[in-house]
Parts: sequence; C-alpha cells; structure tokens
Amino acid sequence: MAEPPTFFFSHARQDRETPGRYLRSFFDDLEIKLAQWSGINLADQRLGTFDARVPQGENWDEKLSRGLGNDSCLVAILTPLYFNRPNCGKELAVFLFRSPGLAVDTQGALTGVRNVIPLRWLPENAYAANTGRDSLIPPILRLIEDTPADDEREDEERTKAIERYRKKGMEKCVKVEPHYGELLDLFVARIRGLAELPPAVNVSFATAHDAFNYDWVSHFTSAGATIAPPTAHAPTDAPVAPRPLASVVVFYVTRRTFTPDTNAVYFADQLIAEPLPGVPAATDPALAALLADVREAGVAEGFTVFHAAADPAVPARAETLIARLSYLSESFVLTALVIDPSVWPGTSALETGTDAVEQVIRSSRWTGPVLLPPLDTNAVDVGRLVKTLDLPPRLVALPRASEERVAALRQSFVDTRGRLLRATGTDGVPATESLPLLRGVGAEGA
Amino acid sequence: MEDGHITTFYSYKGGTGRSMALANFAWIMAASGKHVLVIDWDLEAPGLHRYFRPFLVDPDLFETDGLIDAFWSFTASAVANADGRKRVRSGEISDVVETLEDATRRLDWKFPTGGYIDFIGAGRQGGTYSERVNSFDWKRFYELGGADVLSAAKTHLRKRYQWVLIDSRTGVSDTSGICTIQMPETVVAFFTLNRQSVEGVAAVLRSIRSFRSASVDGSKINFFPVATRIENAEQARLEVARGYARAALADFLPAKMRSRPREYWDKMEITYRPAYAFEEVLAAFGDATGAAGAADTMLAQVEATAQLITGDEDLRMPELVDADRSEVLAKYAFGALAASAVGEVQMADDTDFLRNLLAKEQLWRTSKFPWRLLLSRRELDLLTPEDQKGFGRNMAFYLIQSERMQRLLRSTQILAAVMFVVGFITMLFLYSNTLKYALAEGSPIMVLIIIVNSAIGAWMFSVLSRGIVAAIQDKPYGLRLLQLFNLSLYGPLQLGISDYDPDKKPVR
Repeated sequence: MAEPPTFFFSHARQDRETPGRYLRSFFDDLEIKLAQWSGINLADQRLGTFDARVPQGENWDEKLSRGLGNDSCLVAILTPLYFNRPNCGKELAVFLFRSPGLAVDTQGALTGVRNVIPLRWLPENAYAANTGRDSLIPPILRLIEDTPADDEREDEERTKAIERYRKKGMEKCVKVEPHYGELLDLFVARIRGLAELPPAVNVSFATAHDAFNYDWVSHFTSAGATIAPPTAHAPTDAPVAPRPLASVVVFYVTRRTFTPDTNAVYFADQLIAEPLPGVPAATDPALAALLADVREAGVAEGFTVFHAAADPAVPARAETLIARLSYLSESFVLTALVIDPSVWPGTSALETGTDAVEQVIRSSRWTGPVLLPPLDTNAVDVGRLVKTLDLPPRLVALPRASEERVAALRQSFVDTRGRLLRATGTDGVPATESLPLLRGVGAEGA
Repeated sequence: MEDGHITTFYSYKGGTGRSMALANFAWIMAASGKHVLVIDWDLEAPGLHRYFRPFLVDPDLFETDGLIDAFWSFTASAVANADGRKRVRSGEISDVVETLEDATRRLDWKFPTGGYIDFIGAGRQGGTYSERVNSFDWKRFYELGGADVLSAAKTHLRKRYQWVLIDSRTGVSDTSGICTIQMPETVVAFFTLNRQSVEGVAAVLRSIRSFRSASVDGSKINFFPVATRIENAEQARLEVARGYARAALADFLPAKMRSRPREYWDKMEITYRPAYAFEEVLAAFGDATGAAGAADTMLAQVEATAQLITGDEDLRMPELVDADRSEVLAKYAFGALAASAVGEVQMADDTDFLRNLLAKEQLWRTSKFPWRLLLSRRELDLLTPEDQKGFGRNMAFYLIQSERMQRLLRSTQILAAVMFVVGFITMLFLYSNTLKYALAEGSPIMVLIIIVNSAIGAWMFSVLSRGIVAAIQDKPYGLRLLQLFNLSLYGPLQLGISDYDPDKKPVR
C-alpha cells in the first residue's frame, strides 16, 4: 500500500499577543482531514510535522529535520514575520532543493516546484506596503501559486470559500463555515495530488540555506548557463487608495535615508518603501524598524498603511502638508505625523524649518496624533515639550521597545479613528432613523 | 428553511443569569438540530464566550474579531459609500455578509442532529478593546445610515440561521436600545426579585412596546419575563416578592398565557444554584442529564423555559457519555486551557458505542420519533445493564420504545410466516375440489392459478391477523397509524432498523 502523504508545517512563531491558537487548530484540522481522506488512523500514524509537537528537552533540530528530509510537502504559513525568520527560509530551501525538477525557464520564472504549498494566513493588506499588493512577499515565494484553483465545478460555495481565503487569509477562515470545510478539502486534495518527492539526507538547520537570502542568481547561473535568474512577478501594481476609516497615512518628518516607493500618489510627494527580505535597501535601520512597527500596528487594527515622506522645511511645504492632512482628515482617512528627533521643535539643535513643523503640529485643520519616537536618541519628554512650547495635546511619545511601541501605535490609531467618526458631520442631512433609546423607570411618559 | 427568529436576552441589572440562560438555550436548540447564532452585544462587559470556552479555538478572544470590529467595518463602508453630499447609503448586502462572517466562528462540537452554534463575540480582546468600544459613536453610526445596515444584517441572519440569540447590554444604554428595539422579534427579560430589577424591567418592556408600536413598521414584539436567582429561603418574603413581580409584569406575558399565569411562572423561574456561581458551565455538562429528581436541576429549568419560549414540549437537553462530560468539565475548570488537542484521537470503543446511542436518541427525538431511528436489535443486544444504569430519563424512555418496536417487529415477522402458512393451507383446502379437478384434467395453468390465488389469500389473511395483533400490542411512542398499516402490509419484507452511522448526514 502506498505511503500516505505527509506535510511539514512551516511557520514563524508569533511572540506578541497572539499565541497562535488558530494556527494550531488549522494544523490539527488539516491533519485530521488528510487522515480521513487517506484512510489513516492518527492514533497509529501522524501525518504532519509541527514544532509544537516536539516535547521540551528533545532535540528539535533532529526531530524537525527528519520531517524536512522525508515529508511529502511543505505547507508554508505566510506572514510578514515568516519572511524575516531564517529558519523558515531554511525550511523552504530544503524543499526547493528536494524538487528534482527545480529550474528556471528562459524567462527567468522558477519551475519544477510542486511540493511547496504557500498559504496566506493574513488578509491582503498585511502583505502590502503602501500601494504595492504583495510587495512584502519575497520574490522567491511570489513565484509559487498560493491560492487553490477553483476547479470549475461551478460550485458557488467553493468559489466563495476561495474568494474569502484570497481576501482575508486563512486565519479568518478557520472555523468559519461553510468556507472552512471547503478550503480544507481543497488543500488536502492539493497535498494528495502532489507527486512523490525524493527524500533528502543529512538535513539540518545548521547547514541549510535561507531561501529568502540565498543567492539564487548564482545557483542557476553558476554553470555559465545563459538562463536568466529567477525574477518574481512584480507586485501587483493596482493603485490602492486610502479608504475612509480603514486606512492610515503616516507622514514621516525625517532626514534619514530611505528607499522611495516608486508609485505616485495624490496625497504625498513621495511614499517610503519598506525594506524587504533579501533585497538590499538604503533605509536607515532605526527608521526601517519604525516603519515595520507602524505597519504591524495598523494591520493589527485592520487598517491599510501608507508611509509617506514629509519635509516641511519651509513654510510653503508646511502649508502643503497641512492641506494634505486636512484633505485626508475630511475624507475620514486616519493620518499621523511622525517627527524624527532631529527635527523636533524647541530642541537645542534648532534647524531651519522647525517653525514650519510647529505650524503643522498646531494646525487644527487635521485630526491625528503627532508621534515622537526616540529612535536612536533618548525618550522624549512630551510633557515638557507641551508645556514649554504650549503645544496642543496631540503629542504621543512612543516607547523604544518594539512591542510597546506597537501597542502605543495601536491605541493611537484607534483613538484617532474615534475622533474622525465623531467629526463626520451630517451637515443637516436628515437621519433615516434615529438611534432607539430605552426609557427607564419614571420616564415612561416621556 | 423558514426565516429565523431573532431573540434578545435582556436584563435591567447585571448578575441575573441572563448570559448563562442564553448559552443554555443556544445549546438546547442546536442539540435539537437548529442552526443557531449567538451574539455577545454586552460590549462593556463581555462574558458570553466564557460559557463556550471548551468549544472555542480562541477562548479568550485575543485573536478573534467580534461585534465591535464588525461595526467599525460597517461604519467604514457606510462612509465610503456616501455620495458627494455626505448623504450615505448603507453598505451593500455582500459587504454586510462578509463583515459578519469576519466576526463569526463555529463552536467546535458536533451535534449529531446536524445543528450547530456560530458565535460572534463582543470584539477582539486586548490592549485596544476598550478604546474600540468607547470611541464608537452609535448616534453617529445611525446618522450615517446605520439602521439600514442593521436591517440588511437582520435579513441576512434570518435567512442563514433559525435562531439568532443576542446577549444584550443591561440598563438603558444606547446598545441595549438597539438590542431590544431594533433587532428582535422576541425579548426574554430577566429579573431578580427585588424592586430595582422588577421596576426596571417593567419600565423597559413598556418602553420597547411603545417604541415599536409607534415606529414605521409597528411590528409586534413578544416578551417572556423570567425570574432568576430564586432562593428557597424566607418563604413568606419570597411569596410577597413573587406576587409583586408577577403583578408588575402581568401585561407582558404571552397572550395565550395571560389567563394561566401560574402555569407560565412555574416554567419561567430559575433557582439560584451555588454550584453555577463559579466556572461558567453549561447545564448540559454541569448537571447529570436526566438524573432522578431532574425537575430540581438547572438543566430541567433551562429545558422548561426553552419549551415555553419555542412552544416545543419535546425539547430536551441531550444526554452525554461520562467521558465527554468529564472532558468538557475539566476544560471549564479554573486554570484549564481550552482544547488544543494536537491530534488527540484516542477513544474507547465503549465510549464510541454509547456516544452513538445518545446521538441516535437525539435524532429520534428531534425528528419527531420516526421508528427507524430506534435502537436496532444489535444495539439492544450490545447494551449492558451497567450501561443502562447510567441512562437518564430520556435514554430510559428511548430504550423502552426501542424494545417495544423490536417486539412488534419480531411478532409481525413470526406472525407473517405462521399466518401465511396457515392461510395457504386453508386456501388450498378450500380450493381442494377445484385443485383435484385441475390435476385430473392435467391443467397446469389452472393449478398455477389456484396456487397464486391461495398465496394471495394467505397473504391477506396474514396481513389481517398481523394488523389485529399489532393494533392491540404495545407500540412505541410516535408510531403513526399509517406506519403501523405498512408494517402489517409488508411484514417480513419491511426493512428493519439499522445501526447508527455517525458519518451519515441526518435527514431533516
């Protein structure tokens, strides 16, 4: 009897608020469904390799490497954290190298990869930086199809399930019926449909390459072949405009180096691109970390995030910035201003244009916080700044530590959204129906 | 499927047991095969998820969007759909559906009847929950077309579920107004026997009625007041308080019960039970189902209130095998983690067998007692006296009906054979002269006709005698006259009762 297919569950450990319960549940459900389809009793034989199953004290490298070398396929749970984890890159690399037909075609597209199943865990906006859909996904992964094909059964439920998965990610599909059942069926069918993969020997995390930072160019051209190196499809460039109450545009007043995002937008002179794994970038590391935290905070609250550069060095530019902030606020798009320590108003190292920065801070034409991250300097004494400069109470000092900073950003974004909602004036529009209010004791006649 | 019911569980004051009652009601409805959605609308003090802790992947809701998150999405859609004059139209129905799905998760428990419970929590718990709730402006939401959004949500939910149960905020808050006036067809109002609770609930019910009758659709709303936390002490004062509450709420009893208030209140009181004051345990697990003296349990009282609200006297909380009950109770205990059984699939054969029997009983009861869902001969043979000792009243009743049915089937089969033979011989005897003539004449066709006629006659004789015996014999509950006639008619040709197949989808 043919051996049943097995899978290696590759994921980044989440170490924030989220203990990954849905991730574990998904693993269990996938294994159970695969066992049902394969006629296997899980009490006799496991079908999935999962690091959470390695008991404490055991050699996890040895246990997991066995799975890497022998499992039929890799299920890669894609999250922005995943792309920055070397071990995840190694797990992916092992399976890519196990694919006997791994190659590139003459157009540079990766071919022969069949036993890697990338799975989108998060919603679309989690993989987007600014307007670039999927731009956070490393090139090597963008070459592999991650959405189950609709098998043209004209099954409405199946189509809806796939659409939901594509838009919302698997995390928002776990235990959401009837979509979840359909998706499990589809992924299990895909696992079972894969061709057999030759095992790999002497696999170890110590020696495996990191697929996200591997020199694939050399790998495919080392023999002097004329085949072009693999080039991923460019991120889908569909312009995504900020949406009311669902997007946040953060303007960074900074002189640090950054990589500009080449997409033009109407609300800023320039967007700031986030550095991507495996891609060299000119972005200042402290700024890069802040960008990542801002994005994480925004996505955690369900927002699409845009990073925009702002340099109100002279009053004219300040006026432009205020006008843009104002327009966005009136369109109910969340805005925030991040001020780099080096351009804080009222510091001893006053530079030309800090009056302009103050002008933006003081403007009442826009709704949003002014965020003061310490970056590579000491923490800001917001109270002193506000008092000495008589600034409006919209300044928020951000903590230095990433986890605390993300929490503070989330609070700030949510608070801003509430202010925007209250500011949405109806301008005399009649209420279609008013909020029903109960009457309590003694108010029955009212 | 006919449109579902939206029912709000409300109390003027907290601590009345409203959420517990809702959770138990949801359980009993899902166990009877219904598709149920529960919504925790008590945003300021969410707690409904505690009752479903063992069945939620994320029992603390740190990773799960909920109602407040859905409302923020609704609002964003409403603002995005506004025209240039800021006169907004409500979100498209597909947006509403998608947003509701984002907040909905199915409880991890398989009801053999095909029912299920979907859950919408108050919102993703954690650092920003309080801000998300307190920064949401309900008045502004309505001004942006929120009523239309809620109307679209109601339409969708009624089509999708048979029961939508809302756990309302207490008091006279903005959200309690939405929960009790805007959303439901029925309000189940909980109160304790003190003045503030009774007067508060009475005033609110009056307010709801007044608001609904004055609104555009003027739709009727049903009320079911329920007295809770009844303590059987200080009997004299208890009776005074009861009298006071019943008088204050007399106008809000269902119309057909107003002439029989005693009958109503007998079913709509829930006693205070200290055992339920700690972990938030569902009565299906907290009480041994069908235990002797069951009338005095939380479970029995929950059943009684559910029967009255739904009008279905056959509603029962399903019985459970001890292994399942113990496993779930352990998950409720303080300090226990919710189920994250990574591949735990070990089950004892005996437990499986009993589980199947209990499942079959639920199917039998919720399908209105079809005889084919009684226990098969094999299942009855496999039951041991030890197993039967653990049965509650539901299973004991089911066992009796199953034995009756097996006796009926056996007697009709034996009678079919015996009476057929007797009838055939009798027919042949009656045809003897004709048969002799046919044989003498060497006419095989005539012989054949005589034999066939005799067989038909014997069959009819057999049917008649089976019918008479079946009519006077003890019959299982729910066996209809037509079914009895079929049994008599088809006799041994009748297909028997088969074993329970857990993989077979219940036919509704």
